[in-house]
Amino acid sequence: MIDEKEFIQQLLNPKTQNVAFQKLLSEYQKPLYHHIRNIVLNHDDADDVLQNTFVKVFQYLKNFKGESKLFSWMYRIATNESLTFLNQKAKLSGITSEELQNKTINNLQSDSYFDGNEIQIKLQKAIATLPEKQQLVFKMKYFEELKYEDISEILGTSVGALKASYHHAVKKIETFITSN
Amino acid sequence: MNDFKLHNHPKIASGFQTPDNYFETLSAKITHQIAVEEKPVVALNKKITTFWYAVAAVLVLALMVPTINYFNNPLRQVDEATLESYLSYQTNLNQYDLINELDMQDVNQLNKSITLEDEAIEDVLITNPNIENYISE
Repeated sequence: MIDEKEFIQQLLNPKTQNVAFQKLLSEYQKPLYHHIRNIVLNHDDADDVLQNTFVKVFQYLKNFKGESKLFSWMYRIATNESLTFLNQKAKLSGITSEELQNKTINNLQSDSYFDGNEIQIKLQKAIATLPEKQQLVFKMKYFEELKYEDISEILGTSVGALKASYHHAVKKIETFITSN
Repeated sequence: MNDFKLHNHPKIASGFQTPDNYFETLSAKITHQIAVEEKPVVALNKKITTFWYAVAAVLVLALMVPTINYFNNPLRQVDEATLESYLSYQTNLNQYDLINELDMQDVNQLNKSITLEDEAIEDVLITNPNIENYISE
């Protein structure tokens, strides 16, 4: 991709905006979809959140100050949108976010857009036992294979703290899978 | 049972899949949604709020009209019949109080404005039982 500052200028310029935004979409739709899907678990929910994320990216581009990378700024929006979505969905259902997550995992086997075996479902159940931040760190490192430096910029946490968080998450997951 | 070690185990994929051609059509869906969101939409509750503000403003203005009229016309005269009726029925003033309030100028004015016929004076004198009081005063 061309120099990021130049690309952002293209996104802000009404003459080049449409072409630049299409480029942004084709570049980031897949990684952002998988990031969101790993959080909300369900395809339809991920589709809604992804669309909202790109709409917000488009709307708030003019406020983007370039203090962080465009990539991490978009991931931050996607993460916040996903967590807000889950909280609202849980509230509407009259249950906690944890109960909603367990319910969604129990329904995974009947989800037509989930092709997983027993160990994959067990891993999702193990992840659900972790605190919210640890879940995010684990998913971004293990499934999405993001660098600690990038996760640090997205979540606003130091690399050292992220490494410790991932280490604890792995230990808890191993204990859960061993005993279940 | 052996302890499970995540990094000794073959990589476990998330197992999440997407419908066929999902990413091919996604871009058009998002572009459409952005176009829809860009249209200025006035929320229904905002419309309702504006309506009630308008109703409140009209009511305030309507209530201000009599008040403004009153303050713009402070020297309104009370008509004589109303004043007379008030003095007769709504106060404790008796004829002695009224006499005390009259000065010579008022008495002269009354003398000029009231022209009494002799017959009427005679009637009053005949029918009034306190005639002695008037004579002595």
